[in-house]
Amino acid sequence: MSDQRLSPWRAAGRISRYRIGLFSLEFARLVAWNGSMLVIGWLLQQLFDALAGSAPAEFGAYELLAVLAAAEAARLTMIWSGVVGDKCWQHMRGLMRLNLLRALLRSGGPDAGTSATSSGEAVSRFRDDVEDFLAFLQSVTLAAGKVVLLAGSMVIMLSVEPVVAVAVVLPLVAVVVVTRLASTRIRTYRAAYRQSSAAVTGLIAEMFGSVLAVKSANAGNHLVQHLAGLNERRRRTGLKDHLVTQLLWKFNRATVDLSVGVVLLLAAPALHGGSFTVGDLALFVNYTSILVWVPYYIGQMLTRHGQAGVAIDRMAALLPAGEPEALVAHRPLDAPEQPPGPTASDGHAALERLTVCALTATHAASGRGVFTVSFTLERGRFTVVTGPAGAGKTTLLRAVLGLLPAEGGAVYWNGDVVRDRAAFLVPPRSAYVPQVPGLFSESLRENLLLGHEDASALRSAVHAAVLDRDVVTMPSGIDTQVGARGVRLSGGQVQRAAIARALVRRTDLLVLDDVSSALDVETERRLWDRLLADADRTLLVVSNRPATIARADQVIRLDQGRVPVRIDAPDRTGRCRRTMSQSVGSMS
Amino acid sequence: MLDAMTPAGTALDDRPVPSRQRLVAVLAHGRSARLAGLGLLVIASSLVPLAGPQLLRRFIDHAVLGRPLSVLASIAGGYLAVSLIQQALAVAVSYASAQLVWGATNDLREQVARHTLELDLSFHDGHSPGELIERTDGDVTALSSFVSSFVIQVVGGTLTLLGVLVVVLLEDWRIGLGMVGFALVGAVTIFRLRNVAVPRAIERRAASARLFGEIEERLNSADDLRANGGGAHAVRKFQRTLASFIHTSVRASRAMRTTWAITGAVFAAGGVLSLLAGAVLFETGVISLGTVYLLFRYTSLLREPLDLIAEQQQVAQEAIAGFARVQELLDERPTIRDTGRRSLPPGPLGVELDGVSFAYPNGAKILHGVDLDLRPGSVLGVVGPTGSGKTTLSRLLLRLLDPTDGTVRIGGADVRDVPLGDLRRRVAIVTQNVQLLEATVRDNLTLFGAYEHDERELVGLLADLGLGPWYAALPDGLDSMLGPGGEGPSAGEAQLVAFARVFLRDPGLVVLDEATSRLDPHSEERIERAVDRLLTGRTAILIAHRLGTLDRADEILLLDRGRVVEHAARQALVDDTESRFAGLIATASTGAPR
Repeated sequence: MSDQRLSPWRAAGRISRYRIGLFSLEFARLVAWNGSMLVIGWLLQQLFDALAGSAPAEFGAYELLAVLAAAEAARLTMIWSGVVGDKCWQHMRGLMRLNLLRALLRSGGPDAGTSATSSGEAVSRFRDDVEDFLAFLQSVTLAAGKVVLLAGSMVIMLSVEPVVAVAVVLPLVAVVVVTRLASTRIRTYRAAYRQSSAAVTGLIAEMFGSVLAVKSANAGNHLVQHLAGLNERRRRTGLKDHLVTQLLWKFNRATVDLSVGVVLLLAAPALHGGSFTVGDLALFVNYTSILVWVPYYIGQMLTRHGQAGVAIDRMAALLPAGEPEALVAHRPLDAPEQPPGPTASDGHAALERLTVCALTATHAASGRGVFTVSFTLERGRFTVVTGPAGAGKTTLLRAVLGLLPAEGGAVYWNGDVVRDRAAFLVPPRSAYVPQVPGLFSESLRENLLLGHEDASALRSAVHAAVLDRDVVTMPSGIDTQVGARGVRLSGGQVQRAAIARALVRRTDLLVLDDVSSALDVETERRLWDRLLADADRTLLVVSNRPATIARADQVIRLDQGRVPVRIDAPDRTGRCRRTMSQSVGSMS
Repeated sequence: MLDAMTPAGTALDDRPVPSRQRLVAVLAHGRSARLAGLGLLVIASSLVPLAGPQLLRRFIDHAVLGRPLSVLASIAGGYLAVSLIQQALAVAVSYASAQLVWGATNDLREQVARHTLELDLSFHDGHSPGELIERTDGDVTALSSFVSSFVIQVVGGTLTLLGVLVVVLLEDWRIGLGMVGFALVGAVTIFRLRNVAVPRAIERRAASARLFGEIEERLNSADDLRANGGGAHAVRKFQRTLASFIHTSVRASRAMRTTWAITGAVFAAGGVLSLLAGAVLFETGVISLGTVYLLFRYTSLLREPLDLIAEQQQVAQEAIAGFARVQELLDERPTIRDTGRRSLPPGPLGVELDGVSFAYPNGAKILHGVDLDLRPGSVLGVVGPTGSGKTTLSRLLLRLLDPTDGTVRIGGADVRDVPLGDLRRRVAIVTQNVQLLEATVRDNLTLFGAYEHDERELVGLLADLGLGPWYAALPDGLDSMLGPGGEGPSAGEAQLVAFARVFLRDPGLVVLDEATSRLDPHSEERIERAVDRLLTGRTAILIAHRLGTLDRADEILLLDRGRVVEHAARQALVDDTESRFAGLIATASTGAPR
């Protein structure tokens, strides 16, 4: 990622072409807006000259006032037509958010992104970082309009009084230089502020995500006190960020007042001599006060350039390594979303045998994980992974499925190595129920189907997951809304709904992580009865329940990430020979 | 301490202070001195700009009259000095207001967070954490940028406006009166148009909360979606939410720009009219050319605060919408009111349920007239199929829910008469779904200091619970981070951490709701002793699917669809081969192999 950084300019260029029509209109509007300012300044010059009678009057003062009124009316139309630009910005925001979400929810493939640290923090990337980056592009368009203004006003002022005109513009250059020098500091302050902001958002997410634990332990006050500490840190970093930005802006404005002072000083003798009129003075002062905004917007653009750099890096961290461009890749906002592409077509051979060879996957922070674990799943067999807490059972399942990057080892499907496990081990080949499954705020039906088109399997899946009786008692049956994260269902119902969700897809392989923990003995017995009734179903299950283990065809006992019992398993594939240092404990 | 005079029903009297007041009170509380200081700065910084046009007028008039260059140069120098003072004051105002606003909105964030945590579980059921983040942080942040960047400038701008009116009235009463009339028209226009765009901005803000709520929920369960190929579905739904969000915000922008254009029209007319009046008065010889220029500059000075309102209208309207939404959140009342004054007796606590029923507001009835009398110190096992109401029962004991009928008494006191803090300190629960926080191990154990203990005690406790090796492997000991960003303990270890939390607060009643179901037999053995210790001298309610964990129960309560089906001494039920409990034991032990 670090050698493949996406510069704010490049990203801005790419995304400005996304809605090129709307964007051009908005740009034209800004140019016209700035042009109208030039016209108004010129009208003022004419008006004061006409009043003073110091110039050959082409128009009378009252005619000029009528033209001024017309120009103002045109400007009001321009204000209103900014709706076009607002729409354009919304489309750009939408595109970036869509690109991020697509990458984060992708099952494998080259487009798949990297999981965020916590969902609360990721939300701040979807919200604030997208905003920060687009604020930069917005200020680029504003600054471009001001450059047009600068060029136009220079032409007019040079034709009136060249020396004064040059003196007016020189201080503006100083502003740009100073802003440039300050940009590194701004970047550092902004990053610190964002970080402390994310900590606050993260804690609030934790608070409300764990509301049951917090309430039942009556820990609310203490959490709020902790929040106060994080809030204070955010206040301090926020103030620093604010002060630096403000100082720069005010410096910009002070520079322009300096310009007006210079105009007065330089114009005084000419005004004396009559070569410079009161109208000219009105024009210069008017243009200078408009030119306030030139360094302001250029300075703002440079400041935001720094902030946009931070924002892009943070967003790129969610995208596949080396693919920051994916952030601004064009696609229609309603582009039909295909299930993971290349794998669906590459000949879905029914599972005969899944071989896991010397799989090693560790958590960087703790060094814990699973080490050179090997085993084989035969079609239609029931394999249970068991072991004490922290033995690496969940890690093993997630590594096999490619949800966690593995450092070593391989997985073979019918003897062929699976290159991208996250992309391959998905329906129709494999389905997964995590230890704490997540349901979404939609109907139970949508939760089970998740876009799966074949609804015919719904009834049998609900039955096999022992959810049939529950569904009958729900207020709207299968169309019942389950609430945020499925809170309207009981723990056992969530668990079985997740199993049904996996079953709807009629996969060869079913991977279940400790699903029975929320189930009573009777329900669990029925669950296994129904799941095992299909002789072709291959099951890989984490469980510590003796009753479940007793029904297994094969038991893998993990301890501290390893399979301690070394029993030589028949080497069925011939591929694992060199790497297979440990093998599966069999039980029949 | 006993206060039998305050039954739960009379609590209606302590009606909450209207939240509009509360919100403003939170923002201003304890800040009057600093507010006053800021006020002085704002006044100074808004009156200084009046000097600039005066100097320019002088400059023009002196130049036209052909005064010496040195006079003109000193006017120019004065202009420079005034503008520098003006910018310095602006920085001071900006910094001081940011300082003040950050403090105030941080207080508000804390207040809103505290309030929201006190709301009923049913409220949290209906609102995703993502949505609540948006409301406690997003809305409050919008409010904060509104106050610091908008209110201050509008107040300052208004002061400038009043200053201009006074100065112009002194200059020429006819133009002065004209300007006053025009300022009134402008103010009325702005005031009237306010209600055009604000409802649209509220809509937009709600749509934005929905958008981010959905993102949060999807990301939170990204594994489910990825491994089951559900990502495409989630993206499709997001696209729909996005489309409606864009639609809503374009509508809001149209409303906003309409109001902007109308107010702009009023002020553009004012500018043209002031020049017209100036031209007429100049030609009739009443005022000098410099004064025409002064009037023109002052009119544009009037325009500045308005341009600012227009420019930041979106921020302002979002903030007003956010303000309304924060208020709405503060207006939510928990039905579980913490008004009790009775204290619980020390030692093990008895439990009495007297005809307890519970139904959700949507009508789903969970418990039907449950009676129970549990002596202090005894152990009750609760069994029943999923959905039979076991978890609801446990939530009633902690007053996470209140019964719709009947009474729950703990230690002889109606739970509604006991302060929530006391109740939840003396009644502890361990559930199956342990919620670990993204925080240090220490904070996870003590829940940010809710249960203070020294380091040695904590480490010793972890060792007792069999978490010694896990603790030894932590990089920073008790200061290691847990949760998504840090060290992820396994589910079993998380369960043990939850046990440790309970040990730390020495409760008189312990509820273990499927507490050990995530543990492997090995870990369960390890904490067996710990559980024994935990239950010694305490009343306990064990809710379990695994009947093995009920061996230590004195009595068994069998629930089915919210009704008590069997309730007797454990041994009696085991011995009675006709009982459903005996039947369950038989099923569990045979396990029905394949």
